[in-house]
Amino acid sequence: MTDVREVIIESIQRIAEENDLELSSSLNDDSVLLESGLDSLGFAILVADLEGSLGFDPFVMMEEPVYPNTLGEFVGIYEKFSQQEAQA
Amino acid sequence: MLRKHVSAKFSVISDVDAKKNAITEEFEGGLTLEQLSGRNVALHCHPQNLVKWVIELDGIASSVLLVPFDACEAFSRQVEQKLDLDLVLTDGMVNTEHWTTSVRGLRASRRSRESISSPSEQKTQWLLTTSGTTGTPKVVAHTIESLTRTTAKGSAGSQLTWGLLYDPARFAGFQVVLQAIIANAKLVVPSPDLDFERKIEFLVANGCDALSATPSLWRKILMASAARQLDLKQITLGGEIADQRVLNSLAKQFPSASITHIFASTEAGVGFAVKDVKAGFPLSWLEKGIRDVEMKISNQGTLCLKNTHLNQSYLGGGDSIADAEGWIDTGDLVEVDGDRVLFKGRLNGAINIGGNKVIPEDVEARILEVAGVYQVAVRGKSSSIAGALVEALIVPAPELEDTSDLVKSVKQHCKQVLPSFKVPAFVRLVDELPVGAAGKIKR
Repeated sequence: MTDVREVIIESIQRIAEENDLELSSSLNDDSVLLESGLDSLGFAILVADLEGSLGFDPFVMMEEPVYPNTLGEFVGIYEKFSQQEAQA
Repeated sequence: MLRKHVSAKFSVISDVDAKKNAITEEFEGGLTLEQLSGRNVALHCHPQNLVKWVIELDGIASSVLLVPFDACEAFSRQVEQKLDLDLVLTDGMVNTEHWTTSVRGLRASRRSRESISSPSEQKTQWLLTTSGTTGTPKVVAHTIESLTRTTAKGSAGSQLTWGLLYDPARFAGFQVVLQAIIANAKLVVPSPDLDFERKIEFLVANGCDALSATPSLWRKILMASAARQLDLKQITLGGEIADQRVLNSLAKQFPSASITHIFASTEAGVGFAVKDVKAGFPLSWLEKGIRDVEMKISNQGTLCLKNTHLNQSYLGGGDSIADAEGWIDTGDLVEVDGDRVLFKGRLNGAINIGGNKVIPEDVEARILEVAGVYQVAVRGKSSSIAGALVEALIVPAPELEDTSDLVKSVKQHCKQVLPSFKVPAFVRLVDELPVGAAGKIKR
């Protein structure tokens, strides 16, 4: 199984580089997404990019989407849906 | 006149130094309200003063152009060409260097407010710009009457404390301001240059319980940690298509809030509000209308509106917006689904990025400036976060042997010449563009 966390971190770094965004030095589970250096457009690109690499968009799949505050919460959402995808 | 609506209950709370409220100071070279009577004014100042001065100027000035906080030189130049401005009114808290029109301050008048009136007794025209601070701003004239069509009147809203996350010089922000003024509510105005989290913290600290935002901005608000302490009673969405998912998320996070999504077209200057927390609007409105707005779907599938109070037109060389029978084509594609009418995007292919409109042809023209680009098509790619993102499909020039740097050059060029929301998020090289049966590029 793909390591969702790795895919996400790699994607964040690539999008930051492509869009001249400066990431906060230490990305960890407690990093607040809105303060990570990705702006809201960058975050939207990240979700679209992950749909390309992971094959799903949890924010479309949730009837009542929960929007993450920290990187840990964001990864958690993807891990949860990744398991559901694997079972489906 | 707006002033008549304002009682002691209305107040503006801001994080900037109250002493900078220039109206109370003896501004050197400042004008009094009576000197502004019948004049054509551009109002360019910090949002908290803009809100206060809007109330003062309504019914006094002949017209007031609301200038976005961060307006650039190109903006000033273009509106100066289009409009016959008498002066720019400022509080000294924004950069007004690039105006060629005389820049003045405001100072207290010795006469009472009531004794000053517009010589023509005309309603003040409120001029709002529709596009970004770069690019060509389109100026639309409104009256307070036309802008408050969907605003609840009376004392019902006076208990609320509205937060202002938009520039009040923009259509969406100005609507929030008018809403707060007319309801005599409190208005919390964080400075536009604060970090987003700090803005939300400022709203929380000042008891904000009513907020208006685009669906994309709502998603961002839901991501802010301080938002978990917001105790909202009124939630308003506008400026973008409100999908069922964002409505559901808001209903879950703020169970005691009333949720209203508003359809309002800057061009049309009309709108209506939907309060049942369902996407789109009821089909019955198409047949019977809602309030004094009649509706129909055009042959092209766009929503057309008609109302009796309408008198909008583009300024600086534009035709009347309505047809001979008074119908205004909103340009928004709609589709009937069961007992609802759902919005499907813009007929002209314009892409709505979090409430900002992108015309594909504008971006295409810029991309064609890059050496090595043969053909290009720009279209919207649906986004669960921003509504849509800009995608560019590029056919490289046949003589270009090495295409490896082309994507990068296109992105770099776009970043230099376009505001960030117009820069394609995705640039893909293709062999040919998707072309429809009529020979037009499919978007």
